[in-house]
Amino acid sequence: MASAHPAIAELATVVGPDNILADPDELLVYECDGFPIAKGQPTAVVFPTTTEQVSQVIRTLVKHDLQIVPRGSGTGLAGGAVVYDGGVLVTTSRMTQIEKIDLPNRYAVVQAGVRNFALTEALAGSGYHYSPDPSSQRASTIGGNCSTNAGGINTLKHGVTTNHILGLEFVLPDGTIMHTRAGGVCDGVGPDLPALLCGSEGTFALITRIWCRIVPQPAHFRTFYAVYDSTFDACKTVTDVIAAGILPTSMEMMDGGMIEAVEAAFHFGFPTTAQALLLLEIDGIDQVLDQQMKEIVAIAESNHAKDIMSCSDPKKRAELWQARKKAFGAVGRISHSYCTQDACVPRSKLPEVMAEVGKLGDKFGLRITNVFHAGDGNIHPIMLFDEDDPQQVQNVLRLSEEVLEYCIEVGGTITGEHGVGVEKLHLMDKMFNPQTLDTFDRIKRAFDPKRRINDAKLIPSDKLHVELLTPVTNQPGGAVVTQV
Amino acid sequence: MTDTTIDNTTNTITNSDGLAELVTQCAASKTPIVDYGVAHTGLGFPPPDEHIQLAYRPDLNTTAGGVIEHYDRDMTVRAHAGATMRELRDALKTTRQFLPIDADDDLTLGEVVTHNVYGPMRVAYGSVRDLLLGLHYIDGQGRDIHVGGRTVKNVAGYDVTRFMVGSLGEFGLVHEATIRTYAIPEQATLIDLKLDDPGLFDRVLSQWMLTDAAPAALSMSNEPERWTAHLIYLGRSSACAVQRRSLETLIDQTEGVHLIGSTDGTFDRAQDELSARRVWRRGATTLVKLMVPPALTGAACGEIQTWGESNAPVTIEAMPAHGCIFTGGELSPHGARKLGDLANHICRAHFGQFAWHARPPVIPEAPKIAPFGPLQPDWPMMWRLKKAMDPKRLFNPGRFITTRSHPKENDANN
Amino acid sequence: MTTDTAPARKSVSGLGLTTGRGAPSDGEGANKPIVDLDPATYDRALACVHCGLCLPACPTYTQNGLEADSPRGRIYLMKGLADGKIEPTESVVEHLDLCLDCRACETACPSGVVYHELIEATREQLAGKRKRSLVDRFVEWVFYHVFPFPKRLKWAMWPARMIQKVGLWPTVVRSPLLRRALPEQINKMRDMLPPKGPMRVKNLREHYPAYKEGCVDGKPRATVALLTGCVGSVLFQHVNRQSVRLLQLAGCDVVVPRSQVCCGAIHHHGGRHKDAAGFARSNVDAFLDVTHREPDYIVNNIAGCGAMLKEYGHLLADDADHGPRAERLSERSRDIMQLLVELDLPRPKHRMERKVTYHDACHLAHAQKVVDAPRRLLQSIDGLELVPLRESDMCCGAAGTYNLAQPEMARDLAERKIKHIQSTGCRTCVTGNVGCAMQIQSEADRLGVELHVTHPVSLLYEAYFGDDPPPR
Repeated sequence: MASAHPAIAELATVVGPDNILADPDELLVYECDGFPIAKGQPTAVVFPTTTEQVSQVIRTLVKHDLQIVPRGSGTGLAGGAVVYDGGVLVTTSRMTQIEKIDLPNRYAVVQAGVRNFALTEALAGSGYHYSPDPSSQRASTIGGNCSTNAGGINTLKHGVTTNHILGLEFVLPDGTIMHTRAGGVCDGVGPDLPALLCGSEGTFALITRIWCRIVPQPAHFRTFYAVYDSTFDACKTVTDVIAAGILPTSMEMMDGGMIEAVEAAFHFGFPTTAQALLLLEIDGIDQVLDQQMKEIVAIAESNHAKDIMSCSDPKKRAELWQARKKAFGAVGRISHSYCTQDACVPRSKLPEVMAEVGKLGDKFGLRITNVFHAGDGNIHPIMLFDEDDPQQVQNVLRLSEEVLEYCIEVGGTITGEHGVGVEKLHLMDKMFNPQTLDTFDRIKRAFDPKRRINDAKLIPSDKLHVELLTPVTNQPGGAVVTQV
Repeated sequence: MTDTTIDNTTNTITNSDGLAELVTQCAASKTPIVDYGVAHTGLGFPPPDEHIQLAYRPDLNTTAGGVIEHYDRDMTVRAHAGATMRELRDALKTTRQFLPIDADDDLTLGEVVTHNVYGPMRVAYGSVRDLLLGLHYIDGQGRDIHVGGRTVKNVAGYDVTRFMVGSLGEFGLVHEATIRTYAIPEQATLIDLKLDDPGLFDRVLSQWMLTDAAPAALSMSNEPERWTAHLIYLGRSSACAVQRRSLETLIDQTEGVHLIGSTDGTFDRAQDELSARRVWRRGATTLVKLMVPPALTGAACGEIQTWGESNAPVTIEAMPAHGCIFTGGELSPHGARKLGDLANHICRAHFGQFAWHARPPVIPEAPKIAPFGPLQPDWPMMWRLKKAMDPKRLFNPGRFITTRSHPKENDANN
Repeated sequence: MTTDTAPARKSVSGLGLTTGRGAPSDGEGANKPIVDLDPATYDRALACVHCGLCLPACPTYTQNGLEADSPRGRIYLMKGLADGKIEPTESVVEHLDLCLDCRACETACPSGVVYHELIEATREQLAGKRKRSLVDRFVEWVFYHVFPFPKRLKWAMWPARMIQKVGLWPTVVRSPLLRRALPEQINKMRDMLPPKGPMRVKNLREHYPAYKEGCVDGKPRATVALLTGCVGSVLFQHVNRQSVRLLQLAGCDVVVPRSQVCCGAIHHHGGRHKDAAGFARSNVDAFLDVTHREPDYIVNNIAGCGAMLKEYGHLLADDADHGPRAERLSERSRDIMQLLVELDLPRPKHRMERKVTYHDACHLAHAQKVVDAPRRLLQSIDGLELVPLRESDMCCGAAGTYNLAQPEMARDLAERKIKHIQSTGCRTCVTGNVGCAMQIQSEADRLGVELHVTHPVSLLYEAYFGDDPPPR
């Protein structure tokens, strides 16, 4: 339909004919990201290799009045890289240069398309690493991680993406190339612009280059695991450990349903009668870790933990983490369709939140299983359903909404690490008061007055309206776009 | 341009409603609201002559210690932005927690946030960006804006919370902050090292950070006659002992560094010691802060020291892990200007930035002194954001964001 | 882009949110799909939650960054074909053809998608529907009708060996005239041929008894049947002989069934499942001969063949006669490294002062999940330093006969591999697959990189037996 758009030839002269796709069959695979409910076909996909090309691409798109949608690896879980309104995807997957590694100053400069783990690989042997570790870290790009302020497993102690970003270079939706203060390397005077761009989900500008902090890679670990007869006790262990002044690297939890699924799929030897499993890790000075672990074990025991095991063996450690990382795949084996939610609550509220989430599941007649970052209070209820049953599908969406509303009520947030994208757009007014939403809108317009870049993501738009819940037949994909 | 001291007609307000009302009134009368804090009155362009001076303080009868809510089991505190660091420290102490920011006792939490205050403990705990979780502020239209929250992870909406860090109060009146707390360490081991030259950490810090000797706090200063580094280890006594031994091994292996002394004590004592080391800043008539790449801290300190030796004695206090240097003292107006020139020169050479915290008085024959330099590339964006968030330019107008275009004419004298 | 293992939601078609472009054609029976996948295989496509964790594992995506050249993208295309939403246009087929079928994505997939079944089924469907050039057809003919038959291959090799014998081989390899005259695929085949080899390849004997020192209480520990491979048996006969002797040392009676044939992998990966099933049946008869005692293990030293043997159960599942035996054959099939570790060989006698690096053959690491065993065996050699190889489990571009079908991508991948090998500082690269060995060696030679690619069996042999020649 749009294959003959005049912009295509122009874009091809900017990036070269090998760095653009416009064949409709090839565009099909770009109609969604890691959130496949939201779909929309781009007019073209361009693969710039330099910041200057990005700038020229954007100028060309402005000229042709086409939406600019930035994309990294397309592993986002909220539909942030879906193109509506016949826009063009600007993909960073060929901007993969690690431009500089400066060990004395402990930073690296990378192009936006460098994969998160590629930086850590490039640092192998130096003792340093790039710390944020989203589960997608081998696939997702650092640019994408910045755009969504990606979290991960080790964030409890070591922080999320925003804590590891020193500076950014970005291209504004009018083509202007800009970078944040002090060459990205050191502190400066004035407001923290990198922090504002981090987590803006590509709605301000297209991030092209990142100055990342690199930090010493923890060398000594102790890994702990225990099972419980109740999620309440496991959650309480989590808060008790933190309240005791111990800051583990990570504290991950699985509930009974999840343990069963993992066991059925991979046979790690977890007791399938358990209601909760806590996996915890501490890092630090080798000589004091054992003492710290003793205290953790005592806390766990006082919370009726069973089968407590703690170890310093790297092999056993790898095995336990394997179990955690494979959990999602295991769900796929017990239910064909499932929906993972992402919310964050104050971790002291975890016991009651877990109970309430279970109750809400019962209310809608849906099974919920959990595997989540307990230490951060970052819950990921996984709702199992049958996608051939329209009633169940509706129930899943309603259940999601009620879970999130409940999380807001107890002082939590609608997304801890996945982002808003288009998925949670409709919940923004429940999370924020109108004044705050208006502030977001004003900030958006400061960067992008004409709403040219990734419109209708993160905050509602007056130009595009994305509707996920009400299907309309004449639209391709799961979202409805209405021109206002 | 004159360096006016802050207006004496101070409005003390205790709650957000009061702030909102003030903003509405000032918007109507087009009167700017000024709050440069207590330790940053010399930072940035001076306020316009006609303004209302704001002092935001909690009513301590209703808000004990400035704490609105302490979620002690979550290790977070929601506090009144007018609470001072001393008040918060005392309030949190009851649960053996603390706010890991090195700031003078009399600074309010709001001042700490809007001026991005940090000190040597940043090595272990990070800066305000890493600790702050949520903010409430009154915007340019007198509206109460709530951003962030109380959870440690939160990606809902734009991160205006952290954007406000270091904003010099130009975007809104912060009235409440939610921030992470930490457990008070069992012990603090304070170690002083004598350095043969200030460049030691430029060379070794990245390696030292990989060892058990990685400190929780690190600073160095040009004490009379010698460069001294101050390291602090925090934690259990057993851990501190391991770290000290590891450090001693490193010292043995490294040239040009000698152990002066080491004391074990309480964390309270370490905090007092840290604040004692920065007392000089509050009294200095000339004070400039330089921010350079970390591994150039020592080199920059060396340059300043050499300058000082042939011009006027200056105090130098640096945080080598973060490339932050404070320097100044009692300088003549001319001497101070020269020091400013040097700071400008160093920062230009190394992609850094400097900011005056206490500027010399105006002298007729000398050119104007720009409060910051060099100008930063994201300047135009700052202007646009100011317009979005404070369209009537009510909050500390002209302190940092002066004009639409790059204010080249205001750039440092070079 | 964030964390927790990707899968957010599955595509919810039940919502009425049907997918794909050209929505109006979504109606019932509007398009008859060109590719008609059976429901079980189609289910495999549905199991993909589009999380993208497979992207970095995919060699082609890593090379060109195109979503359509990633496993997730290809699944999307195959689903599109099966749903009748897209046509097998040139570009679509190209993206599917470019897949190495290295199965690295299966290792990365958190949802357990069995990708290779999906791509192989789709290729089977597409196989009959495409036009090919004369050269392509010739190459294909060589693949399907020469390679799998050791006798034919021996004859085909004869002229080349003759030229090598009289010392003209370097001239032939370097001749720019000849290079220009011949199609790229043919040049590639010639380049991959090891520069020397016997004129006449002698067959292995049918039976080799276990060595006493490896036996327990004087009894062999196991009876092992050896798959000699087709290309392997001709070009890398010495590896087979060395394998036999190592197995004997490990206390195994080794049998080499005469009636064994090609494992069928070449056909299977090319979408010729019927042919592959024919080979599989013959091998089931050869290895699990109903008139003899069945061997305890069926061992091989070629990753691609090993992976294929492990597929037999699945391939012949519907075959009442061969099915159960095929299942057993798959279960008992072992890579030689795996088996030697299982049998717990004593430490080798000879010291080897050498620095080597190890390349994981896809069909060992991803298809058979054999990763530790070869490394453990190599590390058991005194004096040998095993240097870790970056991206060691990324395909080298050989991928069976892929390097002949997709020479460009294959060359790019080989260059990437060789760059990493060079950065280890090793002059020896060890790998457990004959295809990888030929690919890496020939590309290194082309690039003028000094490198010796060898099979772990050969190194082990040297460590155990020194210069002692392997048995005839």
